[in-house]
Amino acid sequence: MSQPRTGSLHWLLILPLLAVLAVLFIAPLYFVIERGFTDPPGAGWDNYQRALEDPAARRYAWNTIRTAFTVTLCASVLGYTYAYATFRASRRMRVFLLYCVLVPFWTSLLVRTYAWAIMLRDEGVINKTLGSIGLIDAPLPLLRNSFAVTLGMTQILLPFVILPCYSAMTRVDVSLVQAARSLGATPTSAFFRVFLPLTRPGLAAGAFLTFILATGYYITPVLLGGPGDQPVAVLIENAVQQQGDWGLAGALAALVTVLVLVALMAGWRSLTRSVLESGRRS
Amino acid sequence: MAPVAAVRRTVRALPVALVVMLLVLPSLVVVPMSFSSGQILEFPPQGFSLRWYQAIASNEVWIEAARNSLAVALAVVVLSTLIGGPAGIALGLWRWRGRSLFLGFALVPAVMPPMVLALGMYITYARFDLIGYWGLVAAHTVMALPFVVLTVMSSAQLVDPTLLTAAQSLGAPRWRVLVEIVLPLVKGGLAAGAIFAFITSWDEVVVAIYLTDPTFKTLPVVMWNQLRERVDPNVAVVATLLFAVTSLVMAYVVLKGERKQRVQ
Amino acid sequence: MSSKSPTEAVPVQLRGVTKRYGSETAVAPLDLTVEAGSFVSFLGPSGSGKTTTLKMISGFERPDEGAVLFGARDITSLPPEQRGVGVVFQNYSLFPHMSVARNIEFPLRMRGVDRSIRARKVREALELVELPHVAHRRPHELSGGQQQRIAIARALVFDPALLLMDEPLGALDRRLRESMQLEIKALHERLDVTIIYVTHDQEEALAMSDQIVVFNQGRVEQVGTPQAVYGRPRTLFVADFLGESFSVSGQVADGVFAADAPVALRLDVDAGVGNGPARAIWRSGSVTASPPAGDGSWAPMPTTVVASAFAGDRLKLKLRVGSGTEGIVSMGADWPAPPPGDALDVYVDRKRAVVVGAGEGAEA
Repeated sequence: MSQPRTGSLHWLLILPLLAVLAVLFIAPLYFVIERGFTDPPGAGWDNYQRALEDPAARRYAWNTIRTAFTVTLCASVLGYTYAYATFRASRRMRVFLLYCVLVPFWTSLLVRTYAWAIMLRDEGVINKTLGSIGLIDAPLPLLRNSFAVTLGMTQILLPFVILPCYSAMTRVDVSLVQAARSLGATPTSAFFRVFLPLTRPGLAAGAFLTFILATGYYITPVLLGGPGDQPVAVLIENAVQQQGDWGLAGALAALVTVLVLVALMAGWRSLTRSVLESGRRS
Repeated sequence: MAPVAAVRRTVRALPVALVVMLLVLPSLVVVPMSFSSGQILEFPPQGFSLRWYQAIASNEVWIEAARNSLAVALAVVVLSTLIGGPAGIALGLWRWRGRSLFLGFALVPAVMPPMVLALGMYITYARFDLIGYWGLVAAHTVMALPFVVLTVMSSAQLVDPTLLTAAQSLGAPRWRVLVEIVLPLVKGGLAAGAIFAFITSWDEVVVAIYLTDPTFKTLPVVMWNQLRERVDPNVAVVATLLFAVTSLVMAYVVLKGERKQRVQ
Repeated sequence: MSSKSPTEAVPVQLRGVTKRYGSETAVAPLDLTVEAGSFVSFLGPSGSGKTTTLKMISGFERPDEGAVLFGARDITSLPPEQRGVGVVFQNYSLFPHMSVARNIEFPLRMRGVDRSIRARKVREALELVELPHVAHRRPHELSGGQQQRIAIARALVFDPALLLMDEPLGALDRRLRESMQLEIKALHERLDVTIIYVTHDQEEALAMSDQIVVFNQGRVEQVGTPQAVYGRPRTLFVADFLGESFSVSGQVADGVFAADAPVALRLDVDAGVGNGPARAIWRSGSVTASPPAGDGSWAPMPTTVVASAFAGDRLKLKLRVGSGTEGIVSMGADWPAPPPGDALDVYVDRKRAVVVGAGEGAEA
């Protein structure tokens, strides 16, 4: 059966969303970017020049991108492994593992992040335990560094990798893997040559999503990171709160937006494919 | 043989167990901390008491903030399902020109850095005097819409298109097909979207910091302020209460989803 | 619902109806009249235009040219929900979120029928399809055959003048399909309704229809009773599509068909067949290995056995005539099957030979 004709009904259904996003989302985005060109009056590209030449800004940018990459890598490896284990698990185990993925969603992000801070600090449970069994003499520096930031952000972003990977796995025709085995592939090569390529769109979608979201993170680096881990979001905040420099903030916001959009377009195919197919029955 | 197999299984299960720990640990350590009898937030907690629960129950700031958060989140749920639901249906049900472009546009607010959104909304909404309750509702609706669109779209994609053809052949005009056939069939997606929308608003900090003022604060804003100033187990109590409620809801949803899958 | 329905069955007329998808012509200009109250099958392979034609009648496709008429009324631009046509789909298309009764009630609700009348009509419809006890079940609790009966009840409950069935039995297994064929036929005889039935199964079409319309590549090849399209195919395609046949190639000149060498056979042909290459075709019943004695109409035909298969009550043989055409015939199974490669003399009935043109465009 071909798709039913829609006439123009779909326009009627998407119109409210278009209107709302135009007024409440595009307009704010426009106005903040506009500030980058008009504050101070006649600024033009000056703010951008400042943003790009300022060594501090470069450091913040490097922090943002480095953290996003590290977190994407960790979340992808752990997330895919976890999704695969879930896919292969028995029914009861699968329910349990899927439930665990959802648990973080239901605890305040703030509280989860702060819980790490409490566990990781010098007198926290981890250092105390290690010290009391004599493994370490002095507390390990676990907090206020990239390790803590990576841990906290990976924890938060893992579900965004696990869910699309798992969804892609459930759509794989298992007989293809069996066919590979019957044609002489070892379990390992069947996995790497058949299963992994078939589920790659899900992994790619999850990885892109993680990267994009990670570039915008603010809370986690502030609570867990040291001075060397602060992202552009913090620089923007400082520009506004401490210097009232809306022009610089606007230019930085525009640059971050461009980064997000570029990443979004790079991952566009796998993201839309994953999203548009996730609902389709195999 | 048996011990070797057991060792191999354990080795294989290790990474999964680690990820499970990673996922649930932060949520779990909060619970015992909330029952602490000490002055500050720490783990393991000092002693056991309900003093911080009593403190919360009689603290106007927390109660007021919870009330504000709830009021914002409920309005966000209503608005985002009313606006995002139809769009999700249009995306999932039919193929039309510009569909994937529109989908991308509808999803962008979810991936925008919150700080950029916060500043933009702050300067824009201030022009229309939209700071406080309605401003936050507007901002959170924008941020929640992608989730509603996505979940409704996924369930609309599962609707067999011949059902629509059948309904039309039986005398139903287009709008009635949507109301009588499509709407009941995407109910699950709408409900999931509503839950996501609620959580999005309920848990949002960055934008809320900018769009609230001292007379109108939401729960995350109060928590944020607390965490940066004096850290007592109040925060843990609030988090535990929220965790308990949402865990129960989630357990219900997951179990129900499993049962549904088994029926099909 | 009763055998005296308020809406009288109407004739359906297609006038020069054409449908193109891009440069592809799905339905070439088509003229067709379906008599009121008749059971007409649209028969053809997939992509032959039969379903597209059905959709133009139900209103889900709009013809690029031409008109669709119900009785004297031109309904070409009427949307499907206003045509009052019952449609039964291959996958049943029952609404999963409604009980069986709610499903059947649906078209009545859409028409604003009064609640008490609705209840009575639903009950009658369920009795009509002999499932009065399933009213409160959900569709997924029923078997495939039951679901299709409910779909039929739902399509009939609002007394449509026309019922369209699009491969309604395609998803059922063979045995169930055969018993449902008889049921649908019985329903048609009890109700005053025109039925158009789309199928690619020639046995189904032969068993059920008053008239068969054979589609091929967007055109109608032949319209006629089952006996006519089976026994007197007008084209090679119809002959092939409607069942086993056996043919020899030859030439028609001035009303006489002469088989190609080495077969020595001459037949008188109808005026309809022009001069040029042609085929003489026989159905299984008119080909035999042992003709009745003393019947002068049987002519011998030397063939080679290509393959043979035992099919219970008969033998299926694939035969080649000379170096040319191959055909499949069934014969009585009371003799041992000849091995492939053997020469076999068969006899064909001159009186029941059908000669069709085999020139350009006649090939399927």
